[in-house]
Amino acid sequence: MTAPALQLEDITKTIGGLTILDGIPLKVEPGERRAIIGPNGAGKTTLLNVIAGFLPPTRGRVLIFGHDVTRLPAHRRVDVGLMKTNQQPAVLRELTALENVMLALLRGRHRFFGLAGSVDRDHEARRQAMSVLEEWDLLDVAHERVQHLSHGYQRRLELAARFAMRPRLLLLDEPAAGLAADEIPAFLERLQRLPRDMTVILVEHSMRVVFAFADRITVLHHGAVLTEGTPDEVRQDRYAQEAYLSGGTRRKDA
Amino acid sequence: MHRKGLDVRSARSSRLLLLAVAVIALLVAPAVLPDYPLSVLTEIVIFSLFVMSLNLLVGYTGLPSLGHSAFFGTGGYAVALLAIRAHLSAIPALIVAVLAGIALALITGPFVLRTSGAYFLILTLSLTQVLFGIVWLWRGMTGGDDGLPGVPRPQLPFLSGVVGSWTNFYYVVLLVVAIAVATLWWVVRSSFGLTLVGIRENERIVEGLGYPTWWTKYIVYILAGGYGALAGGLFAYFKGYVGPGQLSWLTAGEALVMVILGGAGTFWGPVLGATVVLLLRYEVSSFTQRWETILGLVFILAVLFLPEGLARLPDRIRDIRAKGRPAAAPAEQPAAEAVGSTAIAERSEQ
Repeated sequence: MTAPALQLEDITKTIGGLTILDGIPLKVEPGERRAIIGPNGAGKTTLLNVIAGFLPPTRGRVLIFGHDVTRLPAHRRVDVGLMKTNQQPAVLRELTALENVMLALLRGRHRFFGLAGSVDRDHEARRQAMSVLEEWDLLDVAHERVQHLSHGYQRRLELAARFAMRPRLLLLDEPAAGLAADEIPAFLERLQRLPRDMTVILVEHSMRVVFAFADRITVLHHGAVLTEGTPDEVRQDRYAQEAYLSGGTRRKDA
Repeated sequence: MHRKGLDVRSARSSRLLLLAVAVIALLVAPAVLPDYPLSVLTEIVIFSLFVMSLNLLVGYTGLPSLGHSAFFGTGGYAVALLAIRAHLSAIPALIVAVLAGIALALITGPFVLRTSGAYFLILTLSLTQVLFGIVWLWRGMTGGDDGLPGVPRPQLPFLSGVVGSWTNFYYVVLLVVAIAVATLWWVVRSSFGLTLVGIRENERIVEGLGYPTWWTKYIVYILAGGYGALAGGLFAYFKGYVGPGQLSWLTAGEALVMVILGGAGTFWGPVLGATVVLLLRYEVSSFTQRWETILGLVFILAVLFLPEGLARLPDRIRDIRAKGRPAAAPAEQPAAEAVGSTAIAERSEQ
């Protein structure tokens, strides 16, 4: 039996006496699409940050493909195939789109912390970066500074840079937030075409995206798992409905 | 797109032309300049290296140091002590100076890099003041506030007798700084250099891409220390003397002004800053005591109208002339089917 892509054991996070996450268990199989939903303040983003290594848990263990990464810093978790996107697209605004992808591709390529290799002379990496940009329809903005790009472009660039690194476990933190309503179908289609050898965990408020995309849904409420199941099961679940689905916290696009 | 490519190419070739002109001007300068202006130029060249090393921290990595004089002074004292006490020649003395700067950075890095922003500024400031205090009190070794006079200026052997001693020393400085600047160019154009800019923009994102950002900052701090000490060693030779003033935070502050005035994060900007500040100091001070007032005014004007530094002046002029033309950035999202499909298809086949 293969190890789960992600296994959380009793993940607890308290900040200043406040319990943000309260003993969360979670098991995501390889290739699965898992959505984590819940009202604002349920702890979804905190949970993703604990998984990615940006926040240490107060208690509990994080295992990625069977490796215990609880004590690994965020940059080392990339080695086991983890990548995360942010609510605000995780792109470097002063750099060009090309440089953003290059930075992703150049990781570990040149020795001595990159001192041994020139960015301009690495034609192979540059060619690869251009083809990534082409695949994501970003070629026309390759030399634009990211701060001049629209939100939708920045989101695509964020995903393109992370895809260039071939993650096995992808964490998406509200990727549809900030997209215009008419941008969402294209975005959803893109998510649905992600290869099945990649495990995806999605935190999202847009129920349209969640129910179309997820194999299973975990509902968080007050830092604990309220329920978990297939989209149909969750849709039927009375507690989940009370906590979230029919609640006042629903977004207008839900 | 096409036009843009051409623009980039012509900008690059005009920059290369400018560099070539500057190099030739620096090489022939001694033929036209008397000793005094040549000594000012020598100081500008030395300070250029110093502020470029500071720019690695401030401009590229976004670590605002107000204590870079610690390395400048360490290099100066290393060279002075070795030249006076051990009669070491310039090459080994400068190598030891660089190693001393690197050692100081190795030791202090873990402390100052616990912080960033204003706290980093204060910690680096404290660091240089601690060294200042040590040097001030340790009279037997450092000469205290008298400093160490009598550092002999190195000369290029094949030029001695051909040109005067100031000219000869100028070429020594030019050679050392040119080699150092070439390696600095390599550093900022390497993937390491791109990582530095990424850390300046958003350290967490760079960490999320899998880069050990703390180690990256530690290494750039060490590099900046080495280059800063090299400049400090040259400066001790230039003055023929080293004193605690070379360690003072005032020296670090002046260097910071040069970096910001010239353009933090641009390669040549700090050189421009050093040139303007030193020319103001030596030229304006010949007709008024208040050269620092003039410097203040220049600094205020630059911050108001060229907040990114003098080096951006050509960009600013181009922007102003380009006003009215439509912006190049695309404003809308492309159609639905254009969604990285090739990438995904390719990936799923593997």
